[in-house]
Amino acid sequence: MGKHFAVEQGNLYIFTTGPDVMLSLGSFPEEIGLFGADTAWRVSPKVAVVEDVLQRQLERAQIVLRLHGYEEVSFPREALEAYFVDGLEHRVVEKALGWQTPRTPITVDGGEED
Amino acid sequence: MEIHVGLAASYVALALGGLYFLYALKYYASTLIALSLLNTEGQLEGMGIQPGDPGLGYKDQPLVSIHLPFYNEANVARRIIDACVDLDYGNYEVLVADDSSDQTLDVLRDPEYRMSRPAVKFVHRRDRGGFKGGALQQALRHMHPDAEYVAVFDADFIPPPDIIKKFLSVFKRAGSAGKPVAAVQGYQLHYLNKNENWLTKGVRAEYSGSYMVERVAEEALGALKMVSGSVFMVRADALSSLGWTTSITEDWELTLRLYLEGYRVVYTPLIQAPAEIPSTVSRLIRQRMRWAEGHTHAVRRYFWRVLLSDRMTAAEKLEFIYFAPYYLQSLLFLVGTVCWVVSEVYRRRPPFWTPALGWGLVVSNLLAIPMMGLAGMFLEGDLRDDYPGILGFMAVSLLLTPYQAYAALKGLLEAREGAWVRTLKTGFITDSLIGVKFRSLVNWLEGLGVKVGSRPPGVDAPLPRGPVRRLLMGACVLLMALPFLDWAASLVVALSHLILSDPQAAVTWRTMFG
Repeated sequence: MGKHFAVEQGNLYIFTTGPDVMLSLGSFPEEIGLFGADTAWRVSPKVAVVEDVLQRQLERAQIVLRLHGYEEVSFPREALEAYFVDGLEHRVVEKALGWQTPRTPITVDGGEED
Repeated sequence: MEIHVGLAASYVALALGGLYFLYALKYYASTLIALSLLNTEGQLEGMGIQPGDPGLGYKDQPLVSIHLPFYNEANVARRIIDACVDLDYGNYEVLVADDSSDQTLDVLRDPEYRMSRPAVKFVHRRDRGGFKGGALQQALRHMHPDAEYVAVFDADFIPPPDIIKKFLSVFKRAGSAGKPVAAVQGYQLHYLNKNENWLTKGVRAEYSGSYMVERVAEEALGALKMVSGSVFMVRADALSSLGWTTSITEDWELTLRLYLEGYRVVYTPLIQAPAEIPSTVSRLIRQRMRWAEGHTHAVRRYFWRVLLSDRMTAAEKLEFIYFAPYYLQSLLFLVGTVCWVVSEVYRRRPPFWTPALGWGLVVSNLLAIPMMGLAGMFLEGDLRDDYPGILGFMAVSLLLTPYQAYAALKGLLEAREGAWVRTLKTGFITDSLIGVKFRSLVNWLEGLGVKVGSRPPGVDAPLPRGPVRRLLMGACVLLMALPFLDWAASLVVALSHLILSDPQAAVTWRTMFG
């Protein structure tokens, strides 16, 4: 259970499991352009996907996500896509998370946490 | 030279008038069929239009995926999403396929919809590739894999809470006999702003004729029925295997492809979702030009495939042949009218031509579609309130003619379709008491002896409609026969003159008739 994000094949996946609620898309400043008209994006109750995210966008998005307690994980794209489509976290996400180790968190200023 | 031009024009005018009359005959026949069919309980059941609770328990409820294509729908986006998350059904998802660049995006970003049950998924594209068909294809790609049915609504519709159950009920009843049912089309009840102006009243009358009369008759005859872009449910497996195309009339192309695969479409007027009517002439013209171009372009591409198909019935092919030049009628109408004027200028007519025949054809052709509208509104119980819309409808039809003619010709001749020009939805509502109108349908069915389940409280007894029905049917028969009657009368008069001008014949005539 938790709040996670992953970057797979150019797409940014933001997802939650368990009782955690997806953060408001309004949390991302408009200047980042993640969930605007000129980006291809999707959102379901548990998963938000931004396709072909730019490095500049990604860096800023990571700051916002970490501020809201999201952890970056490495995760199979197929599983994330399946999670978006059917929303079945028990079948897809938690099982996979069991063998995943969250990457080392990075603080907002870029330094490592204790 | 003038003689030849005048005579040629008169023959062309007569031929096109006759061709138009064939269409008019179909409209009158449809009106007669709809007015008479609805007296027959068995026919109603056969058409799968008996409403009521299908009695599905939760375990029997197949997963339904509702797809909502959006393009700059800020005025209506929240209304349709809220209606869709409030349906009386336990197993469905809502999927918005969005191409917007306006404030619609604020609705999509609203965190409220992350909490809603059922789940709402939003898919936003950065461009409009493939237009509505492209957006719906994206929706198809991201729908739940267990979905068995897909329902589609345009953004300006408001589906009532029981609509999924009604769709499934029709699938269940209609699926056992004949060709497999791929889709069920409901009534696009263009009603919400019907009293906004003369145009909306006219278009309301037009839709009433199309959905309460023409399609009912097509259903009764087992003819080809169209999937009409909104208020329909389609089997997910059939849709997934075919996919959406990028035509500007993607619904018409889907219809043809479903029939070519051996499926059929069922129509019922008792599944209804109220919607908005284009309220300005320019919006209506743009919408109809798109329809005319896309429809004709698809006809050109599929014509021979349909006619040579071994999976389509004769009735379906016949309806296709009738429907294929539907928008080209406008062109024929214009050409016919010009030829008529030319022949009148040169005073040249075919030898068997009489002015009475000409005017009989004009009157019969002119009133065919308005009669369908009148009958449609009568069947809905709205005739008393909405009949002035018929005049608006006739004006609209004439107004649209040159635009539809141009667009149909473009669709026929050009290699590629043009771009999709959207129809702006304003969200303006003038008539919100839609439930009352649904009740009139319940009245109507109960009056015909059809069981419709528990009767809502406050529903009045059925209105006495026998005399009006008979009047409408009589008018149809009269108008169908009008050109023949006029022609016959002219012949009698001409014969009389001939006889009376011949002294010997006159003697015979007087002897016979005193």
